[in-house]
Amino acid sequence: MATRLKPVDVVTVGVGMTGAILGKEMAALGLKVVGLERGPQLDTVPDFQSPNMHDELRFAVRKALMQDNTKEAVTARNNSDQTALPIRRWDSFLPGTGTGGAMVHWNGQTYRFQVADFIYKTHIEKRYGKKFLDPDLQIQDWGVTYDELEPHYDRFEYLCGTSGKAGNIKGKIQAGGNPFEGWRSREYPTPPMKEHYAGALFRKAVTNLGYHPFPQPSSNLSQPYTNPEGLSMQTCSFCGFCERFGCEHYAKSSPQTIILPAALKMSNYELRTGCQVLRINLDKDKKKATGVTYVDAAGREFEQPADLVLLTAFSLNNVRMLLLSGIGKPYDPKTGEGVVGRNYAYQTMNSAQIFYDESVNINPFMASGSSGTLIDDLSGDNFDHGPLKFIGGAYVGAINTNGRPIEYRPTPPGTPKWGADWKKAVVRHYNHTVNLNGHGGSTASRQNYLDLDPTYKDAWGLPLLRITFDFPDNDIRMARYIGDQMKKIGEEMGGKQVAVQAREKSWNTTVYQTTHNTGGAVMGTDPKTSAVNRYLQSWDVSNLFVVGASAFPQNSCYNPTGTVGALTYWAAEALKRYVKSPGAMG
Amino acid sequence: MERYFLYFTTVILFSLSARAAEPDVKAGEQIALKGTSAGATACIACHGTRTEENKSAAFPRLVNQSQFYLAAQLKDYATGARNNAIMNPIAKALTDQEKENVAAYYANISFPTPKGKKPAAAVLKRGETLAKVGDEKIQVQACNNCHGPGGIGMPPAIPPLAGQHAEYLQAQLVAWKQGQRKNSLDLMAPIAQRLSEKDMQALAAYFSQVQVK
Amino acid sequence: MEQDSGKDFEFSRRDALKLAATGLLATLPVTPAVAETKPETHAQHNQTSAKPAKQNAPKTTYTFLNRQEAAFIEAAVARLIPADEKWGGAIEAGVPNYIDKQLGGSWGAGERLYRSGPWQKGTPTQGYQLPFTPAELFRTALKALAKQMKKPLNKMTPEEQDSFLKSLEKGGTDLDGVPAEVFFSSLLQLTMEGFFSDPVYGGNYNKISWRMIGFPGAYGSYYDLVDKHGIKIDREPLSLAEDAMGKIHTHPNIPSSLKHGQGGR
Repeated sequence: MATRLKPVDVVTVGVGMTGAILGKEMAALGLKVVGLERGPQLDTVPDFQSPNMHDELRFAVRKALMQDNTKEAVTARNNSDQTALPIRRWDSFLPGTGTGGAMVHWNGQTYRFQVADFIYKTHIEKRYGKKFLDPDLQIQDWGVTYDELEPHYDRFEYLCGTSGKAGNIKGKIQAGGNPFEGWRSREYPTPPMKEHYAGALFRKAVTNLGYHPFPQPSSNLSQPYTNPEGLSMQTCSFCGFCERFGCEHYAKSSPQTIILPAALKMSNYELRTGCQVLRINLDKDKKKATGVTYVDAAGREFEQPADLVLLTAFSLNNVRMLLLSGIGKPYDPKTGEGVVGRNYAYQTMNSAQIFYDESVNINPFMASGSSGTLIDDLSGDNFDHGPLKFIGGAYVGAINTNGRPIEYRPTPPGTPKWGADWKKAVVRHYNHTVNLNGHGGSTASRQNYLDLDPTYKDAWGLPLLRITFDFPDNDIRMARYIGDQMKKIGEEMGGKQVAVQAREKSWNTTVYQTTHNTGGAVMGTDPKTSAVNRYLQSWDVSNLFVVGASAFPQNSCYNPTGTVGALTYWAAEALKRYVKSPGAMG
Repeated sequence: MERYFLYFTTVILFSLSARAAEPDVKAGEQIALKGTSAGATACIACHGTRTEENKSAAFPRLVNQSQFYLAAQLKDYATGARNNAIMNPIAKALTDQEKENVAAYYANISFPTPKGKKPAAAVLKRGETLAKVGDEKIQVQACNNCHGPGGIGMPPAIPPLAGQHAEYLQAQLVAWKQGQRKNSLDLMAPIAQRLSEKDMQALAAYFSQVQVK
Repeated sequence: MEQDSGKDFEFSRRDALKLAATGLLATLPVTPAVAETKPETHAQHNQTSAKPAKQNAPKTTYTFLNRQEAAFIEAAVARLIPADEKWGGAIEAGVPNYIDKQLGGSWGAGERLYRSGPWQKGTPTQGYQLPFTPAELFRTALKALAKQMKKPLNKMTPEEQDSFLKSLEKGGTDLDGVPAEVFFSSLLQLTMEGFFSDPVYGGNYNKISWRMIGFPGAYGSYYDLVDKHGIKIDREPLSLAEDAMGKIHTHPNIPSSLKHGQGGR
């Protein structure tokens, strides 16, 4: 029997990036806010301190900072003809847990989407015609424009202290930055990170080829910085233990370094950890949320009534929570009707290695999560797709983040996987190889979607989320093209040998390919094709906002965090208007 | 002591740009013993030699240091990025090659940590905690993250703290906090700014007594 | 006493002159020529972490694997990562010890594994779908192999061993419910972990693999070095478990999770 608690004004389901920012914004209005986090509270000291943190086996291989998959996993299949089976060990994507969520163990790569990304359907149809698209693709406009989001991108980057070089300030192209980026109102808050050797080799080669290299925007900071919340961060030490690890130096932007302490200072903000939310409760008309039900670490069930529910649990968990709570019509790929689970997308990853002479010391272990050099010439619609017959692209760069040897041991194709020759190859190539990544977009399609699994359950007895996903043919053609360009770049880089791996079907759950799961509760202006409106307010339940990459109608080539941050601040402004005058905001 | 010779040997090869030639340890020894004709004072006046160190707490121990770090400090003394009335003119009088040579002479030598008066238990505990864990309340991370286990250093760029004179260590933290020491600023100034005088004393006391064999 | 401004430690010109006046300088021994300094100073000065480590892992005290299983594991890993003229291999690195402790600990017991049924064979893209924990997987497969193999692995020649391992890798045979290729890939994965992971877990003895490839280990901070392109980093690698004296304190059963203050405030 659930214990009914005293009502509060706002409850956030999850205290990761979106939950921490919105929790603080709402509390700053004087509202009583409760942040419910399933995982533990984590702090830089003592939890992220090395040397214990610099344990590749524990954190990178065994995934110590990730969601507890023994209690709650996800099922997966490539298409609707297959039976989805549990992902029994995290590999392809790595959902976070604990305060800060995945923003604790991310790489700090902080991008903006392009202007055209937000009006993708309109833009593509205008340039290439409606018939250009493969019939299975289902791209949509967002309902919000880049110009509307720009101040919120700016606000998020200044919250993080992101290190970078602007390429376009109010329409004026800036030397040293990305000439393809959307306009920004001012420079980055801190200067670009130092460039490592791989980045320098890449820069030289792509410049020769006529491309436009720029430094990777990094929320692992290049110098000390105090953000507008009054929280101070330190300098990144290029330790090579970034993704999958917490930062020991207060140098990586994570909620506990950039925003959560500001929320925790307020007596009207309360953090509760170890709390697994089971569902959002609705009134009998199912048009208003009355609060949430959760189970604490000791197994006790509570009902937390609230006037406003903010679903900030990470894209996949957001969609699952809507489905478990019966909010919104679930998407049916056969009929194309319904919106919850619709337009799930991911990331199309490609890689290349350039093998150098033994005299060239690359030192891959000296790296930050985001200190690479890259080009945007091959991403989005920055090149003419007409003769190529696909849409989308990839950013390409020397963005390697580490040299951790259990997982990083590059060897040329044909090298055996074990034995004497394997060993010699590892010694020969470990410190003399550059890795390139082609980080490609993911186009939404009719057959890729999310729903509840009919068979497998979590430890609380609730159905797991089911992912039905494979790369659309369009994205495979894109990957092949990107791979070809990467080969040319690799050859220009002057090594002894180049190897390229362009993405192929089918999506393999056992190979890491980013935690950039997007869509499923997309934003838009039409309730027939979106689950939330342009303010991320649920069309069905007006006192519920669903904030995260679940809102993306499709995924661009860039890492989502910057755009999720911008959407969070955009939603925060809408929420300020909402609390003054609750109701549907259209 | 043995492991320090294994540990601190660093071979530096700069493959791309023109750099100082391989260091001449013998020439470095001459600088240390006699100084230079350009007016650099002999180092042994304060810093002893490779085989006999000067034990006075007035001068930092040049033990378990890397050539890279020592040469970098000399360069910073020459430019004023590090300020010291004695070291500034000496460093200015040395050429870049001489800096490398004398740095190579003093690199990798090791002497046991002097057994001084043991600090109070509470002071030691505070220093050890800051060194190994840090303090979330003042937003300071563990020193050992960069300075290695027990503060033995992380060559070539990060110097050891273990066994260094407490007065010297504390003075460095003060110098960063007050803005007088300008090298390694982005790394050390934020930390020094967050440390109280008591915490600086505790850290200095703790590291000064770490045994390195 | 005069205090010069901008000092970084308490010392002044007056101190230097005072020191000189004491005549102490005259009593400091003139350093002999470098070649005559203490032999160990000079010899070890030239030793870098690149030289092969002479120490090998001690014999494993097995707590999980029985004698027969251990004999198989030892023979197998010796071929997966063999010793060569320059560097030791899995045996010298203590990989059997690592595997034994992992299988006997929480990882072997099913940590980080979603263990609910039903169990169905999936597509290759759906990954591991067996109910076995790693400990159960190894025990089952090794027992089946012991029954199936005419000659135990440790009695074969190296060529026969390689041939056998390659056939396991290729797969297609069943080991009492464990597909041969699944057993092989699990064994290979644990072997690589045992060779390259931090020595705290009982493998990578004396940081041999890190020395071999030039990976500096668990302590990493490269702000001053990252833009020194091409620099050779040759320092002793550091384990997260070593102290200031260089002693490594192993702790094989570190949990695969990170909890702090769980349960709410």
